[in-house]
Amino acid sequence: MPYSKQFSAHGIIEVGHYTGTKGGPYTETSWGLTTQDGARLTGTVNTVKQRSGQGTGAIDSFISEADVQLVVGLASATLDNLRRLLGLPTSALEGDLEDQVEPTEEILTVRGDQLGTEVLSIYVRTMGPIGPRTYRFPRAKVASLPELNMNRTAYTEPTATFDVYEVNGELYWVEDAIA
Amino acid sequence: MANEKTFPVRIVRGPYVFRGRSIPVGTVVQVTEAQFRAMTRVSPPYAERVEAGSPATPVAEAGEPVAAPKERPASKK
Repeated sequence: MPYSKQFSAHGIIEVGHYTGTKGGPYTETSWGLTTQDGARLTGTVNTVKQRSGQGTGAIDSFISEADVQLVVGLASATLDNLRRLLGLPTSALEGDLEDQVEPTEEILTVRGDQLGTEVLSIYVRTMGPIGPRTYRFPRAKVASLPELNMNRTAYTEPTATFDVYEVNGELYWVEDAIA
Repeated sequence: MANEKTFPVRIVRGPYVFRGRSIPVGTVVQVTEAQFRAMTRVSPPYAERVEAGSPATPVAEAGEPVAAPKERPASKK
């Protein structure tokens, strides 16, 4: 077997959203090319420490709050992707440039009261030990709005941070496919 | 495992990571039923079955992907 305990992970294959429950089958929609930075998963915790009056070091601690955030950078700056990274509902985008029969002008309307309201199930696919590795975040919402560069020396690469929420106590799961 | 029955499939979405390597779209690889299930558990799937007898050799034995990706049809002018 080519599988080795020495697997070193790097790279990114795909980011998108999906429908389906854990174990599959899943229906996936790719968001297209990502930036070189791709996706980044970060976590922050708050801990409560117990100390005694008889010593200076902590005698115990527990995690009282744990937050997971996912940062996604996209090289495909389509209006549909902008909409997703702004957390806008699908109704915010009218028209369809991709329509094979009759393409129509796309209009993305950014309303303040709709920003960050869309809830997405996001997947991130990377290289795995033998098959692809897929991270699935069943419930995520935009936590910060993308910075959009419109200038001569940089590409417009929308990047947004998503807050990841628990579903039945699960924040996310990771699948390593057989191959 | 070594004697498990395999059949040829074509990668239709990708690249697909197969045995730690990145396999481009259009490549035909020999897979087991379990591997094929992993490739088709998502929609759109990563692979489709190709007819038996198609030129395909196991990636694991050959060391290289098997049939070269099919050339794209020339665009209509």
